Amino acid sequence: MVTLTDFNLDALHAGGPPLEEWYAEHADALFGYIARRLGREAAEDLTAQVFVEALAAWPRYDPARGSAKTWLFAIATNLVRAQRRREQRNLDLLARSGVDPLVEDSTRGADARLVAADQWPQVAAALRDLDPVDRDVLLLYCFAELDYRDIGRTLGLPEGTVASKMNRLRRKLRSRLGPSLEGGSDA
Amino acid sequence: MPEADVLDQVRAFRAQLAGLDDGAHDRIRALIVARAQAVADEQAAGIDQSVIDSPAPPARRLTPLPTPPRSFDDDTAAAVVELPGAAPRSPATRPARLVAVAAAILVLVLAAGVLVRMRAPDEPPAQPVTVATEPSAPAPVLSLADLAALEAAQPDQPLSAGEFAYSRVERGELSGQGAFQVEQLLVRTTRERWAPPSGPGRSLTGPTDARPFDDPTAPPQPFLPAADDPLAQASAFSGLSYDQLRQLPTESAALRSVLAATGTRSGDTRLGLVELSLDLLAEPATPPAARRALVALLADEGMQAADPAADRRGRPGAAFAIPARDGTGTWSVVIDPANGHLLGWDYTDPGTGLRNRYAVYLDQSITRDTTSH
Repeated sequence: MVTLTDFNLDALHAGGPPLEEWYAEHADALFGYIARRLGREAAEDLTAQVFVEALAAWPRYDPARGSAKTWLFAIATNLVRAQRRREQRNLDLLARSGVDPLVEDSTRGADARLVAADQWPQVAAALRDLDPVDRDVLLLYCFAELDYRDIGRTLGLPEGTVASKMNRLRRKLRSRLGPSLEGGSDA
Repeated sequence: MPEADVLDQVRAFRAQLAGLDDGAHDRIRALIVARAQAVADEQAAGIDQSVIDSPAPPARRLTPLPTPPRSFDDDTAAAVVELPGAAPRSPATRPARLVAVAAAILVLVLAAGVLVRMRAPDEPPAQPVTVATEPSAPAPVLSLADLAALEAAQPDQPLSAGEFAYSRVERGELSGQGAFQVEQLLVRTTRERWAPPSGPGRSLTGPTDARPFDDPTAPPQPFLPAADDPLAQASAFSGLSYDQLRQLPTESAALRSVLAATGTRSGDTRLGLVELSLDLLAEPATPPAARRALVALLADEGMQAADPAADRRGRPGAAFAIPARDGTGTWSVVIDPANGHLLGWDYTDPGTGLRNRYAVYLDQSITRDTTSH
């Protein structure tokens, strides 16, 4: 497997970011975050673009203001926002038809078995009906596993606002999804 | 059910998708290298220094805002990746700045080249969206008190059996197609709706078309076909049922609580609350006292009178501005000063500074006819 250090990217950004190190550490998480929102094909494209944007904007990166992970997910979230309508369409299709346009095969992670497949349209409908900022908050928490402080840094919101949004989102999701799992797994 | 289970469902929703394999890693790495190299090639080809040092052209901006927004170019190439409040890590080196600027220019060049015209040969060009910056006729400045009084003075129009609240609304939204190429499209659709006081109604949506975001004169391209759907009574009136609409509170705080808890739309967030309030203000069957309360609620959200303006169809009116708060952007609202009818609004995204969504209320009336207009 080739790595980014095999290429002379230093010629473009002397003293730039440790791109391969960041890639090895964060590419899978970034891809998963983007793929569930926009699809695998777009995710490959956008995951690459996250690192290109990071390369270009490296002089503005201040590690005291947030980790590389936070910064990279901030870039990813902005790129996803530009395609919000596509995300909305995917969620709407799954919510209405039960057909997930982003799953091409039967490969599923172990966590997916926690709930039955027929729950996905309800999850999609719940995500679809969130406003965009709330959806970003929720998915940065659940998909990117950022904490409230880093979500706030990513979206430009106070940490307390993120916390209150998450509380409200929990309530909203419980009201939308909770009853459907009664009698289901408590794992 | 434990709260964690709800979030576990969301986490599991992502886990359905397989992760990256070695082949995908190779493709992504190759993309990174190719794009970085493309930037270097542009640089090596000799980009005019005056271009680099000049502000990027405002080619991707719609109507100028009262306060200058950040441009798309700023957002795409560099500002998009700046953490809030971040200070420069070190003085920008010349090569890095060149990379950033060259990336912005490359994005613009590619964006101009990749938009594909898909209009069918026999399709007549649709009327382009009018981006009006000046009213075609003078309109008075309304104060919020004037507006509240105007809404309260509108005739009450409860629906009788056999009648429908009809609306025809054009909505447009900025949509990105692709990342590196950034094919920015304005996707536009018109929806007609017939909402009865009881039972299901009818919704006729589209067809939806799209055109390059920065070119209002370009012929629109077919995007999605028309859809003729039944309309559930529970959400027929901008997300509310008829009974809910008619029983809206007449005091703004109570109204806010009801909108946060009632209906199928996201009235519990500022973005949802403001746009739901605007839609309800446009509903012909909203009681006058509730209209006045909606104005009060919007005033609580910071709505202020602004200089007269025109909607996207060029219809002049009294204008109001709703400022950014809590992570949401700003709205520019245009209202007919003669009768208080909402003409339209534009929403400016806080992340991009672009006017990236709008609504134009073309017809709001009571009818017994369910024929498409």
